[in-house]
Amino acid sequence: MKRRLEALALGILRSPAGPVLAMAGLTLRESVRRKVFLTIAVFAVVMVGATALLPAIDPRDRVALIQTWAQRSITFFGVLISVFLAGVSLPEDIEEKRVFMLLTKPLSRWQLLTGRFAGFAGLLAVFLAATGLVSTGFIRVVAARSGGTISPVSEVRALQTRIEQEKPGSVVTAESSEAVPFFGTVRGEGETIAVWYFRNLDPSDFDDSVRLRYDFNLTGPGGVQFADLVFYLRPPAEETDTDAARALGWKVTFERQIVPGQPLPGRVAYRSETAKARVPGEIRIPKAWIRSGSIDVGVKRAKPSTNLDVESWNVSFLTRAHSFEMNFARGLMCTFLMWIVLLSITLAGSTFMTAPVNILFGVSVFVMGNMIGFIRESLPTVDERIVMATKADEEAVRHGHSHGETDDIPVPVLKASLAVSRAVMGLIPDLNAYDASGTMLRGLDVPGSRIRDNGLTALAFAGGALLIGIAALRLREFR
Amino acid sequence: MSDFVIETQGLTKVFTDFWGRRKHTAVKSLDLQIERGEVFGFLGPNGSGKTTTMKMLLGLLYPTSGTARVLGKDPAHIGTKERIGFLPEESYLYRFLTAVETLEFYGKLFGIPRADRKRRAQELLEIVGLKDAMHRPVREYSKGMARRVGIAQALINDPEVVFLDEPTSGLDPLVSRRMKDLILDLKRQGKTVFMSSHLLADIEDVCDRVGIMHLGELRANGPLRDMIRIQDKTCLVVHGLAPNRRLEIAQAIEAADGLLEDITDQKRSLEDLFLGVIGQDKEDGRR
Ligand SMILES: Nc1ncnc2c1ncn2[C@@H]1O[C@H](COP(=O)(O)OP(=O)(O)OP(=O)(O)O)[C@@H](O)[C@H]1O
Ligand SMILES: [Mg+2]
Repeated sequence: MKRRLEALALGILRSPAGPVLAMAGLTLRESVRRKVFLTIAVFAVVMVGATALLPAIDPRDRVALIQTWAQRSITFFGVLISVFLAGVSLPEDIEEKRVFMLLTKPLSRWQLLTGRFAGFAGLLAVFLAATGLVSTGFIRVVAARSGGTISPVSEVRALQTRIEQEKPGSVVTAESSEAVPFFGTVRGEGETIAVWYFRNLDPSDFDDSVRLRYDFNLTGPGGVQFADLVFYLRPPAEETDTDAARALGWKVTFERQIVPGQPLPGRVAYRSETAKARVPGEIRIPKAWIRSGSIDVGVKRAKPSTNLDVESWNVSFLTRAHSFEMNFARGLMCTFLMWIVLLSITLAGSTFMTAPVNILFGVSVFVMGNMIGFIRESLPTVDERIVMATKADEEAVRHGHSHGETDDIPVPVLKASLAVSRAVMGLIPDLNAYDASGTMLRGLDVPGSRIRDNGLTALAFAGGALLIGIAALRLREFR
Repeated sequence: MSDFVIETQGLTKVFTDFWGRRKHTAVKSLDLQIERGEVFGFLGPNGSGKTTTMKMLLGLLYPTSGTARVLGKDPAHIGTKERIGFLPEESYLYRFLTAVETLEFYGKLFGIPRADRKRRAQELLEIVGLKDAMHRPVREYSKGMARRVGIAQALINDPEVVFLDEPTSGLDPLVSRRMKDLILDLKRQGKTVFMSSHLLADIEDVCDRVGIMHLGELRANGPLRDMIRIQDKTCLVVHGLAPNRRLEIAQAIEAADGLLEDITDQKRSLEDLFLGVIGQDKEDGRR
């Protein structure tokens, strides 16, 4: 056994991974010797201690606040490591000519860079584990003492959302699928109803009473704060006015017709709810009603005086609560992926920039990466302008006007600028996409799909950046 | 191609500035051939292009034109690096590592197994006389001590070809002497040594062949013995000759058609004097 392990160790040592691991080990040892780990420990203590200064609020919110605070400060400290420690390691080796000793050994340039990368990734992992454990423990204690509950849940969204008119012969006025974001408003006197179609529920994800979460934006004259809403469901045929349904506030009738074109008499369950504008609320339905995995949830206004904004996310099912620890770990996993992106970019920069320039570069990437999401969102507006301007141009041509008379930006310029900005923005990672604290703050689970997506983009960015770095390093001379 | 261990043809290096403008020609069309087992001394004043040449032979700088081959391969070839050792002008070390850790780290880069690595590190530290200080971080070392770590790391892989850039600079005479012995040892083991220096006495002590660089050009190149021999002069070293009998010798030389230029007492070198005074103590308590 021991001999096989030794043979394995020797195999690794002799393989191309050997020098990479040696470099990674050196990086970690350097961090230890330069008291980085000590600083991390001090940081963890200060981070936890600082929560004492957070305002005293309702215990549930306090737990959420501490969680957000912990995540944000861990994130920031990791960013400092990625930019300030990783960003100067290679320039220092070059400046102080240690690279002469390294590259005259059988250490390829790609191994030098990936070794440094592996070392700093390891350092970040250790940092994450340490601060993650300390803050999870601390949050547990605070939660236990304040009696707050901190179990996050997953949200299941509707496959389709529609606004329909509840009159015979009327048609659907607007609809969406999950892939296309939906936005509409239920307004006016008409018997209009918004319906969310759920087709993807897995009954084993739910407790005996299924949690239905709603969160509406209400508009209307004088700033609407409350509105009475009626929720409609169509339970399976054999489900009647059971005790379970009544206990949860539902009435089941045979008279109402909800949606045109449905067979009559429709079996309908309904209940009223007073919704606060932009404040999430929760109602429950019997588990039997979602046995088939699909159910439609309709929402109508009790009085037509308020307008109800309708988006796909307004109504969702909440699955069984997951453990807080797991979820916090998932959120931190996203953070780790963000560090990896930043780390690989600063390391790539360090192959051809001096230490101070590279630090400036790393900080800029971080700042831009945090803004890029907002900038990207504004691009569709430019698209619209192009469409409008093109139309206006066509009009002008048809009416015999020349181009020069419009003081708008010409279409080709708009198009070119859009293409350039798309290309440039594709090069900058959207670092906000790796921040799961918003989701966690709302008490929701960080979905696995998100970790997967973050993982894939991080892989693409890290791979691309390291390849660029290796190419730059190979071209480089060491004077 | 050929069995020269080191070979260059028209090797030229022009340093350019950031914008690619030519600034300085450091090495001009250098042709060099060094055979296996040779100790080659690369001489020249400051700034004559010795270090630049060496860096091109090690793949740290790319030639502007011409070619360089080490062990028959391009200097950038990774397999070549397994078989060479390099001591730079100054020791550029990780200051947070100790001497042992430094050697073990470089040993790892060669994929030397753990046990061998440890043994080799100990041996080398013994050779360069750093045994007592080997667990102290390099940060605390004096210039000469750091230099000795540099020597040890250059030999960690038992290289076939050793590049030494001014190997004796910064060393005290004793270690300097030991360095020279080490070079002769390497020669005895059949290794090739390429060393630069401007300490002419050092070169004279160890080198088989020398090349003299000036302003980036190789001005002289050949076997050391032939180059420094003055063809028509002869030197006699006589032991136990009484001063009053010197005249007889002078007359005998004149009778043989020789021209006597000088008769002096033979002096020992300052190095020998220094080693005689200091050497014995140091041998016991090595720092
Ligand atoms: N990075 C560089 N940029 C521009 N010129 C350089 C650079 N490095 C060296 N040189 C020039 O190249 C010439 C040769 O330098 P090199 O270091 O090879 O000399 P050397 O023979 O090793 O000198 P020394 O004995 O002082 O070590 C010098 O004139 C130097 O100014
Ligand atoms: Mg030099």
